[in-house]
Amino acid sequence: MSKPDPDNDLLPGLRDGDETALARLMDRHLKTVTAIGYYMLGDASLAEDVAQSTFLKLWQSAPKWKPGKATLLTWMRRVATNDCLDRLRKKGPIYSDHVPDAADDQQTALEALEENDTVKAVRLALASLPDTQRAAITLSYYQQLSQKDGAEILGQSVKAYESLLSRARINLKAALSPLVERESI
Amino acid sequence: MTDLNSLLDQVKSPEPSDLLKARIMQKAKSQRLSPNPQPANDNHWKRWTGVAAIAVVMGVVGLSTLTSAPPNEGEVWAEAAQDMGYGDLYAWVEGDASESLTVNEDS
Repeated sequence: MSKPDPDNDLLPGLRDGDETALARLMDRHLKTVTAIGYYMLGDASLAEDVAQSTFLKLWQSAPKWKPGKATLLTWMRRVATNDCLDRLRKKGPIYSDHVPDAADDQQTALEALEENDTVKAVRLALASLPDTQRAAITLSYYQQLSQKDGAEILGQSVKAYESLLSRARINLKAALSPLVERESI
Repeated sequence: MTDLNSLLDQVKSPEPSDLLKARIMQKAKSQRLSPNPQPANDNHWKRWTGVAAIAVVMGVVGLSTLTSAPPNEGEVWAEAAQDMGYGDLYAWVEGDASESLTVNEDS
């Protein structure tokens, strides 16, 4: 039996077009949904566009919502993630899909180190990941989802998702190797 | 926590702007004015627009055909006879012919 949706209390209001219910849902999840856009696209303004589009889609779909399937938050995470993947496909990489080779990785991270900016180096490393790998890191690490939930959101088997996540971590470690070494000293 | 996790931890998503919630609320108001809103991906009404357009065109063509239909042959001849000043004669001939035919049939 599936877990009850913690947002069930808002469903009747959302179905009836009660704007207070929408406002309360945003109080609970606006930051979470916006964060998906931010980690996926690397841009705060685009992240807000993704959040807006996600909440409005939910608002439109609420009258037809069937309880007992996905929770509202899982559904919104899926919509936001797919929106980001679509934007990346249509507009071309906001982040590059290219996974740089080892030499490039070190150079990129070192450049960031020279600027004494670890955050920038991590952002660049995230940017270098292919879209779906970045999505897996976003869901599993930044959204703290289980691999089962992450796999469901990306429409993949748990095994495929685990492999995706593993490759993402390997690529990140390679891209951040100078930083990882320095931090482990 | 591994080293990689601690590095990932350093990238923080910024808080959504104060205006975002208000912007979404404003858009939501205009989207749910009708009690049964159409989902954004529902294109059924577009098909019916095409059918309605064809029906309107057919109606207009049909109506114009009906209203511009030429008068029947008898009316044309009667009008011509009237113009030439033989209207009464034409009416008598036409009327008489049918009457005499009826008489003949009776006898």
